[in-house]
Amino acid sequence: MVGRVVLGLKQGVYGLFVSPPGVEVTTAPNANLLISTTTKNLQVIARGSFTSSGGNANISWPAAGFRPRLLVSSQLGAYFTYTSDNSATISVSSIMQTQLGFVWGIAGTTPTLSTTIYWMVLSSNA
Amino acid sequence: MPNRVVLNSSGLKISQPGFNVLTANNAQLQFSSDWSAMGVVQSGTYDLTSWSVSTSTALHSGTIPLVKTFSTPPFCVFYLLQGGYEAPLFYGHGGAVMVDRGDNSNPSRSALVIQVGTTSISVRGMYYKASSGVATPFYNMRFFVFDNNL
Repeated sequence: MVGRVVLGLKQGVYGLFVSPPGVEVTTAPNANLLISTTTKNLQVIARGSFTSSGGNANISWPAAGFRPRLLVSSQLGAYFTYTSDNSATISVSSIMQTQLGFVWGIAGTTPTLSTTIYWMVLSSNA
Repeated sequence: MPNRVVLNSSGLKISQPGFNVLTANNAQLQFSSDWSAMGVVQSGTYDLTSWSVSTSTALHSGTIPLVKTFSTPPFCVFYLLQGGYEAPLFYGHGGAVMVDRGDNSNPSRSALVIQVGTTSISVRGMYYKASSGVATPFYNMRFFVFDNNL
């Protein structure tokens, strides 16, 4: 059975290292590991969603001590601006639904895009 | 040499090289158990090869099953594959891509709508051609589905 976890020193570097099943963690290249803290791990600080077909919405998340990267996902079309290190305003437009209708309408019933706006706050800097 | 790893009742934290984990702020950490890890839970390719064609329009409707049922639609990334290149289509929970190609003699248009649900990903496409001879749009994609523990 191979070693799977090192919490401490691996090849001269301190950190947390976790290998896939069947792979010896002490000798595996860091690029082949499930977890390696030789680089900053991408983690999710917070996430949420709301429903909107247009207009602005304010969101916030637990303060992390820095301004983290915000990802906003909208089928309708959305953009955001930070209002502080732990808050932002998301602006939603229904332009994509309108434009899709112009293109798709000639072939049949235009798909209805979701009005749910999803957002995630990642542990990387903004 | 600063301390890099601390594991106690508050959890596990690992600092970036050069920073003492006991005094580092969150921006100076490589890893913190205060936050959820995110990883790829599913990946693959999807090609829009089957089209229902009428006189001047064609439609595609397909589904990519997810390997598990999610509580909320997962975060996904889609790339368009063409000629050995990979071009980012969109990230998130799906979106719409519209291409209105055309010239003065043979107008055409195509559209692609991808919507991520909790059990599957819906893929719908259409194209329109004013006359015959217009090539079917080339929609070959690579996708990644992410999961986290939040």
